[in-house]
Amino acid sequence: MQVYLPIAEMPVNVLLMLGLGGAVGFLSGMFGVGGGFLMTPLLIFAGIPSAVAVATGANPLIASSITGTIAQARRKNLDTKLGLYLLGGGAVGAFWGVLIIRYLRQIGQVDLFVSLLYVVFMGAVGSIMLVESLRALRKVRRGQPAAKRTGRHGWMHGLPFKTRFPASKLYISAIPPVVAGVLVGVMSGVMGVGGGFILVPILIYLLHVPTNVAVGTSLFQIIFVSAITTVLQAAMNQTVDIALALLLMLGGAFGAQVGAAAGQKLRAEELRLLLALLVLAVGLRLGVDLVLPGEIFSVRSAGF
Amino acid sequence: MFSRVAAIARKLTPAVLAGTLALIAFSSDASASANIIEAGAAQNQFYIEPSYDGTSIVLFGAVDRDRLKGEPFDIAVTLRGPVQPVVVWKKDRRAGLWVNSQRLIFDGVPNYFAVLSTRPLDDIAPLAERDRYELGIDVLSLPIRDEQKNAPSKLDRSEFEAALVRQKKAAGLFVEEARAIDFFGVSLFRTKTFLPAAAGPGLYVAHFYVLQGGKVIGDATARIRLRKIGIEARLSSTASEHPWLYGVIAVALAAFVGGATSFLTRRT
Repeated sequence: MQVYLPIAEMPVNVLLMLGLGGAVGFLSGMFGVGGGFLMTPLLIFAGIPSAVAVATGANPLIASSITGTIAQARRKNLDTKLGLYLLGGGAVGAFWGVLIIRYLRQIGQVDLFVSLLYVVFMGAVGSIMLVESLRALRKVRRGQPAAKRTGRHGWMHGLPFKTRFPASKLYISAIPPVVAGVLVGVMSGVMGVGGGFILVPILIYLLHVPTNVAVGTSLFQIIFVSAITTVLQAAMNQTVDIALALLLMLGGAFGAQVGAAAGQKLRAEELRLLLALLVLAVGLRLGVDLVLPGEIFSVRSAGF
Repeated sequence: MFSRVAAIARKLTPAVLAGTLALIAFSSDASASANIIEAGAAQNQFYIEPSYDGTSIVLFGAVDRDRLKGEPFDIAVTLRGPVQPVVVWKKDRRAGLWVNSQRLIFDGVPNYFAVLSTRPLDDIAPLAERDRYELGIDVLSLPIRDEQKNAPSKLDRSEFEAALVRQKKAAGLFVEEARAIDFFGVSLFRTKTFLPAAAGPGLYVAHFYVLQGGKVIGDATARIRLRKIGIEARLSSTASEHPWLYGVIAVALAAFVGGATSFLTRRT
């Protein structure tokens, strides 16, 4: 069954797009990453023009992250206060990110820069998580309890503006969450993604937020980042395809429910291991393209 | 006259169509001022609806046999879509990575170009004549934008053009077909080509040529319009005319779907 997309100006297979949305939604509900880092590459792989794929990728994430956030909130896995601090930084960061992208476009190396960012970040984040989660799993298997986070005092605890985040059981300075927000905002502005795959590890490993709360809070933040991205893309580039987004979000809405339930059944360590493998796989796939391209020439409409 | 014929032709079988056309083309007006070729499209308007997945385009015409003096002749038809600027990037290996290094901007690339003919183009006319009328993908003019930064040297440009043509052909957007013209009787002909869905909306122009002794001796033109209607048209006009509103609608729609899903799953 085919449907013609009004903005992308091409027909797509309805079932393929529903399935694609469902798969990304499943991951979104399970890991608390928006899935933007998967959505955009998958859309391009399915033949959607890259301008439309980049602009439309964020739109269905709004739906799946709302569904995911509500599901997580019911399980008390949402720290609204922490989410708002992250958002404050994120708004500033996203603005900087858009400025950086504009500069890169002027010098003509957006594609390379974005690919390299993906590869470097996903490689680093994926490897760190992989090592850590394997170590944690081995401990669990030996019968020792998983490492407790309480009572740790790093350099971050010497910072001022100490604030209590009851949902995360944290009493830390407000500066690290805001800085993390800015960093993720810059990334999402530059890479066109919600930034969950960077935010979740930062929350878990740097701020010591419990894994489940990190997942819920990251989803909460992604709602707003992807809403801002969608409006800006529609206004600036006019390449958001609502018909495509609708297919993706209908598939994704149900995928997110299944994912959230599956995430609840898995151990936190196993969840982190799976996410690590997924992040590494996508990073590796993009890295391969940089080293062994299939076609040396790329043809693109100059209008986009 | 031809719009009326086309309207009728849509409903008729080729045989009836041939008879009708013959009547119109030659019975009433066979004076010296008559064209040596007259032609049209079976349908001048095509609409893009949600179920649109490309369309066949039927073109037909008639030649004046008397003025061809019984000598052998050929028909060639070109159909071209709206032009748009296209960028071709070439990757180079730098420090182990394949990086976009050079680009060439073509200013007017038709998004669809088909050449349909009675015989292979090289047998119909010499290169100079084909070049003049753009009879063939190899002689299609692809103008390059002036004053480009990082542009490849003149010598290297042909490989960019070759890459562009190769990818257009692979997508079915550049088509060349010999022996694609069917004759009904002595003077009536019909030809058909498939317009893939990737060839977007716009004005498509068909040029019909009669060739004799390697020279074009007569030509005719037909226009076909492909446009979005209904929901397709409304969405794309909102996206371009009210972009901020469109963005807000996109967000609201997503918020509604997300909220509704939560509501539904809570109930069950």
